[in-house]
Amino acid sequence: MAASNIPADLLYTTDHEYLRLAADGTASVGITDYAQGELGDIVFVELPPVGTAVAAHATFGTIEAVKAVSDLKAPVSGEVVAINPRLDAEPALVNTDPYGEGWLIRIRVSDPAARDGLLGAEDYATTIGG
Amino acid sequence: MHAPWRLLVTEPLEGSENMALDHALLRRARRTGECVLRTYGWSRPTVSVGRHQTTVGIYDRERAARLGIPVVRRPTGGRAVVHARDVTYSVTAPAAALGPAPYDAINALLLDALGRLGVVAALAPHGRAVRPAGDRAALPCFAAAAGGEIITSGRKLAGSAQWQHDGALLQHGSILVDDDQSLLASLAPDAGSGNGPTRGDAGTPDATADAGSPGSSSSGATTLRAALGRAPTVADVAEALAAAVRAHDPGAEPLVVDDALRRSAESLRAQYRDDGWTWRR
Repeated sequence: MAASNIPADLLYTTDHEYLRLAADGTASVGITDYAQGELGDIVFVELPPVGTAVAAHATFGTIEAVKAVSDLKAPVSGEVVAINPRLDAEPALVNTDPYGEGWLIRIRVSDPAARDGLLGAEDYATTIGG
Repeated sequence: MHAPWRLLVTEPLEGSENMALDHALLRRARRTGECVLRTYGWSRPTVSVGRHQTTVGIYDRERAARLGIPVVRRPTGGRAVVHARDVTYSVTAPAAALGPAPYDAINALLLDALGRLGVVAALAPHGRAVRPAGDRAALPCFAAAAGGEIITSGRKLAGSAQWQHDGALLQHGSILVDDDQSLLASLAPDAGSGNGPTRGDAGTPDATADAGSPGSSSSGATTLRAALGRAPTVADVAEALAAAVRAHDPGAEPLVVDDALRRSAESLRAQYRDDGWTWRR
């Protein structure tokens, strides 16, 4: 099995979500390359409406692979300001480009200090045995 | 498998009762650290659909009501299943109890149980086509076997789907004794008025089964009757499943449904009776 891609500029959770911080106080959230590989072919992603408040470590949606539905957990608290509009018709984008076109939601982070509890790329690699 | 196992066989229940009890067992798994294999039937022929499956425009709600066929939405994934002459199982477990590949672990139990019944079954190879592109919402569960699912003679015998939630998992599965999956076609919006069973026929799904070969189906499914030349009872299948569990955990004992579990299931039942859940998409 090929080694998972773990970009150095992102933050990670032990639940295998990533956070990509932007300069404007928002952040994109998705699942890691390792997670999509473990799940297998993604067939559905259920995301919250724009405007929903999400809490760190709480479930904000679900993702269905061929045979299992799993929870999606928010890395940090905030408000959903965008959802990936392509995933309803093209959920496989999560498999093919998890850090790019397969992003899930964008949130306005309510507490920037909360990022301190997240993992850097090296620490995340350790958690997955990479 | 290090977590202790319990075994539960319940009498046939309504769809919403079955789903609520399985959901309550998932919560129980998280609370107790125990795995439970439940084997059950349905009080009348019922269609269950997957958590994310599109039902609106695919199945006709009024037609289903007119035919007396309840539709219930599972918390687990996967596609539509007709529960009539099948045996349904659920496995609930703490998330880590079944190792890194719980789906494979449960399928190993199923293969063991089927072997005890005399069925030579295998897992479908990974990588085969799962479903036609663009037809995601409409395809029934038994139309094709995904990699890792249980097949015999190249056809799907058991369909399974899982929900991993909050530190526990629930896996649902259906093992066909006879094939009633063609009943789904009678719920389509464009099904002719003469194609479906009448209300009185709903208890005898033979009305829509392949008339020439009741043990097989053009749907891609196969059945225990086809594999064995006879139709085992729910009790036969439950005992084979129980024996497979005991082979892994000799201490596995029957689960007694106590007041806490009964109350938990009752509190969850409203969700599965709610049309807003069943017909939400």
